[in-house]
Amino acid sequence: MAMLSYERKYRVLGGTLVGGSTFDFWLGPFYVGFFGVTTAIFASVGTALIVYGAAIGPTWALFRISIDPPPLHYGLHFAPLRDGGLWQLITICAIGAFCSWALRQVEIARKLGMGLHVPIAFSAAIFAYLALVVIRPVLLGAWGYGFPYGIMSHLDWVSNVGYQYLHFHYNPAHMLAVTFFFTTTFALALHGGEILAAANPGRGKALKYGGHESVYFRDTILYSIGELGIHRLGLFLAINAGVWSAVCMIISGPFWTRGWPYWWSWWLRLPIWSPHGFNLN
Amino acid sequence: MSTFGIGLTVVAVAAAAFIVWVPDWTHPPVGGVQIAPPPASMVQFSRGHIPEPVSLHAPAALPEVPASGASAASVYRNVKVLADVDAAEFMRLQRAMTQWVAPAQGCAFCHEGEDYASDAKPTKTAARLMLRMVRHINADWGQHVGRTGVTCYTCHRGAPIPAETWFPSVPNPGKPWVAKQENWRESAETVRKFFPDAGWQLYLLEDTPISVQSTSALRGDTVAAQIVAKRVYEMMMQMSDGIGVNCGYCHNSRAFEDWSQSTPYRWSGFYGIRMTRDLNRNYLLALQEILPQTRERLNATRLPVIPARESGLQNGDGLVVCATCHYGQPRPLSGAALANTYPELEAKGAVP
Amino acid sequence: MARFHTLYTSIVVQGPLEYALPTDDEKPKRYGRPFHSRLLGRIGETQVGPTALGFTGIASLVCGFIAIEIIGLNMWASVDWNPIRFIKMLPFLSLDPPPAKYGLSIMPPLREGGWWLMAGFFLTAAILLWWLRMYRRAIALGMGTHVAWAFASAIWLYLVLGFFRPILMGSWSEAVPFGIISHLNWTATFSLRYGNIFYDPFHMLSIVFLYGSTLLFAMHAATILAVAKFGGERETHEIADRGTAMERAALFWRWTMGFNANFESIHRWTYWFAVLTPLCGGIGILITGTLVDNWYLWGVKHGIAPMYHPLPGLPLSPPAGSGKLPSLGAP
Repeated sequence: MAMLSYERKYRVLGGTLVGGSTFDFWLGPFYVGFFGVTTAIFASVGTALIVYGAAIGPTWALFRISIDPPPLHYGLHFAPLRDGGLWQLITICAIGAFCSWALRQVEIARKLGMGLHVPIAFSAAIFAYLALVVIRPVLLGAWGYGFPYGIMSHLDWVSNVGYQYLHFHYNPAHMLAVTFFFTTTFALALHGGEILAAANPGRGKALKYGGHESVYFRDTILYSIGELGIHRLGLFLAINAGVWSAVCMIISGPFWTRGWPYWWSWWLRLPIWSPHGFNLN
Repeated sequence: MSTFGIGLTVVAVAAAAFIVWVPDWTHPPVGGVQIAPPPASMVQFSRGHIPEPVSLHAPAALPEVPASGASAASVYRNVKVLADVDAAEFMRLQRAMTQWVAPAQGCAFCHEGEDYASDAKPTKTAARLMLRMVRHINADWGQHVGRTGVTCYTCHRGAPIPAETWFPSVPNPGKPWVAKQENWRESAETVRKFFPDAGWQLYLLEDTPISVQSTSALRGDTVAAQIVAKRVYEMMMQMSDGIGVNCGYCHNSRAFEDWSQSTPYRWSGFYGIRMTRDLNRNYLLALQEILPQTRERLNATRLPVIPARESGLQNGDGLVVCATCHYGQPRPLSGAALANTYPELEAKGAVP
Repeated sequence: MARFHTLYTSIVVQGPLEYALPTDDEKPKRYGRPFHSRLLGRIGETQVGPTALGFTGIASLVCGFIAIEIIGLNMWASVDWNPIRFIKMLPFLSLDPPPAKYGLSIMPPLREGGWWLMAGFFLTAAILLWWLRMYRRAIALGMGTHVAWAFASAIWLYLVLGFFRPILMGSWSEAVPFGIISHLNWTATFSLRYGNIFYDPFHMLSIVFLYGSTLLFAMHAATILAVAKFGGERETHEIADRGTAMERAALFWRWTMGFNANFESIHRWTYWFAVLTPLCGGIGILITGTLVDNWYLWGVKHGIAPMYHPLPGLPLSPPAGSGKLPSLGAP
C-alpha cells in the first residue's frame, strides 16, 4: 500500500458529506469518497470530450488544438455539438469536476479534523472560472463569450477581449488584481525564502526557529508578521488576486463597453479640480 | 466591534457607494455583435448609456421643391460654388444649411444685413470652402463614405463649431531644468479630450506611415522605436472611441499588422485616415485663414486647477478627427443616407 | 467566551519586547524603540521594530530617497508646484527616459532624460545596497541566504527592463518610465511593437509561475491555517520534529491529489515558483527586440499559432501605400 509511515492511524471512517461510509475508502494514496467518484466521472468524460474535440478538429498539434465556444447567435441555448455544443458539455463537466473536487476536499479535511480553509480558497478560484464561462456570458446573453479550450487559442481570446476595451490596463479592478498577484508572489518569495533560510542555515550551523525569523525581518524591514500572520496574509492576498480578477472580467462588457481609459472621466470631473467647478451634468 | 472596525466598515461602504454611483457605468442587456467566427473573439458592443454631446439622428430633409428652371447664378448675385444649381433647390439648400449649422443664429450668421450677396462676413467665405469640402468628400472619397455621403449636419449637428473638433493643444514649454511631461490637456472634462494629441498631428495631419510591427519573426534590419508604437496606439485608441468601436472591429489582436487576419472594415479605416489628412490639410487649414476658430474662454476663477496656457481665449486651427463626423457611431447618424437628399452636394469637380 | 480564530487573533497577547538574540555574529546598531501595535496584533505579531541599520541600510535609504525626490520633485515642478494639480495629475505624471536620438549617452539634457538616468542610477544603487543588507543580515543571524537570492531574481527582472535590454538595443529610450499610467502604457506598447507578447514562450512560463505562485500560496496558507489548531504555523519546529499538524497537512494533500510535500519541501516548491516568475520574465523581455522582432510570427514559424478561418470577402494584400517600417530615426 502506498502509505506513509505515520498514515495508518489517520485512516479512519468519518467526515463524509454524502453517502455515509459507502465510498469511504482509499485507492492507493487517493481518497475516494462520493465526490471522488463524481470527480472521476466528470473528469474522464470531460477529458474524453476534449480528445474527441481535438479529433474532429483540424490538428493534433498540442498548442494549436482548440475547442471553441458557440457563435454568439445561439445566445444562451444549447448549440449543435460541432458548433460549440462540445464546448458547452466540456464546461459542464469542468464545473462538475471542480465542485466535486472542492467537496471532496471538505470531506478529507473533516476526516482529518482540519479547518475548511483549503476548499474555501479553492472556491474562490472556481468562482473566477465561473465568472469567465458562466456569469459574464449570462450577463452578456450568449455562451459564446466564454473562452476557448486551447493552449494558444485561449491566449488569443485574452488578447482580443482585452483589446475590446482598447487598453485593458486602465481597468481599475484589473489594476487591483495585478497588484495582488505580484504582492502574493513577493510575499511567497519572502516566506519560502525565510523558512528555507531558517531550516538550511549552512554547514555546521544550528537550525533556527521563530525568534530568529522574527529578528531577521525586524532587522531588515522593521516588522515581522510572524508565523501565523504570514499565512493569513498570504491567503488574503491570493484570494483577493482571484476575486478581483473575476470582478475585472464581470464588469468588462456587462457594465462597461467603451475603452477602459475612458472610464476615468469621472476623475477629471471631480469638483475640487474640474475647470468648470461642480457640474451636475 | 472596535472603533477601528466600525471606521473601516464605514470607509469601505462609502468607497463602494462612490464607485457604484459616480462613474457612468452601463448595465445589461448589452448588445454584442460578433465580427469574426469563433474562436477569434472580435466582438463589438453597443455604447450602452453613454451620452454624446449632440443628436445622433439626422433631421428630416426639407420638402423637395419643384425646379424653377433658372440657375442660381442667373437669379442671385455673387453665387460661386453653387452657380449651376437650380434656383429653387439653391434656396432649399440655404435653408437646410442654416438648420444644420446655425439654427440659433439664422441667416445673419453668414449674411450681412439685407444684402445677401455681400461677402462682408467671413462666415460666408468659410461656407463656400465648406461646401467645396462636402462635395469633395461625397465625390472623391467614396472609398470611405460609400453611398451614404455627408452633409453639413454630419459634423455640425446644429452648431457653428462641431462639438468634437480637434483644437491642437497649446505646446507645453515646460521649465528649463524640469523633465518634459506628456502634453495632457488638463482642462479636459472627458478622457477623450484629455489625451495628448501628438498622434493626431502625426497621423491625421501629416503623412506619417502607420507601421509598427515587424514582418519578420527574428530581428531584421528595420527597427521601429517604441515612441512610434506609442503614438500609433494613442491615435488608434482615440479613433476607436471616436467611432464607437473597439480594436476588434478591424484587427485580430494577435497580429495587428496582418491584413489577412483583419476585417474588411480595416480598409474603410485606411481610407478614412487618408481622407481626414486630405480634409485637414486642404480645407481646415485654409479655413483658419478665413475664419479664426476660437473656443470659449474658460472660467478664470478655476485657473488654479488648470495650467495658465490652457485658460483664457484659445485660438488655433480647428481640425477634424474621426469623432468629428462619427460622434461615437461606426456609421454616422446611424448610417442614414444623406447626400442623395441634396443632390447638389454630390457634384464632382470640387477642388479648392 | 473568546475562541481561537484562524483568520484573526481574538485575544492579542503582548509579551515582553524582544531586542536581540544570543547568536548574532555581528551586533548591528539597532534603531527605533520597539512598541506593540494591537491593530497589527489582530493579524500578526504585535511588536514593531527595532530595526538594524548599518552602512548598507543607511546608504540604501539615502539613495532611494534621492531617487524618489528626483522623480517626485520633477513631477511636482511640472505642474507649477500646485498641490491640487499634482494630486489630479499624479497618475499621469511621469519621468521618461531619454528619446532615442541620444542612444546610450549618459549625459542627455536634464529635461530630456537626464533626470531619468539619475533617478535610475540612484534607485539601482538603493536596490543593490538593500540586497547586500538582506544578504549580510541573514549570514549574521546564522541563517541561509535564500531570501537574498530570491530578491536577486527580482533584481534580474528590474535590471533587464531598465539596464541590460536598453544597452543591447542601443538606446535608453527602450527602458520603462517612472510613472503610474506611463509604465502601463509602456507595457501595452511593448506588446504591440513586438507582435503580441503572449506568444513569447518565456512570458508563458513566467505567467505559469505567477499564477502558480498565487495558487501555491493559497494552497499552503490555507493548509497551515487549517492545521493552526495543532500548531501548524510553527513550521521550522515541524520540520525538525514532525507533529500531528504536519502529518495531517501532508495527508490532506496526499489523499486529495496522490502526492504531498513535507514542511520543508513545500517551501521549496513555493520558493522556486516565486523565484522563477521574474527569472523567466526577465529572459522573455531580454530576448524581445534583440533576438525576436515579432512573437506572433515566431509562433507561426514554430507551429504553435492556431489557424483561424479568414473572413469572407477579405483582400489578402494591403491597399497601396500602406507604408513600411520607419527607421530608428524617430525623434
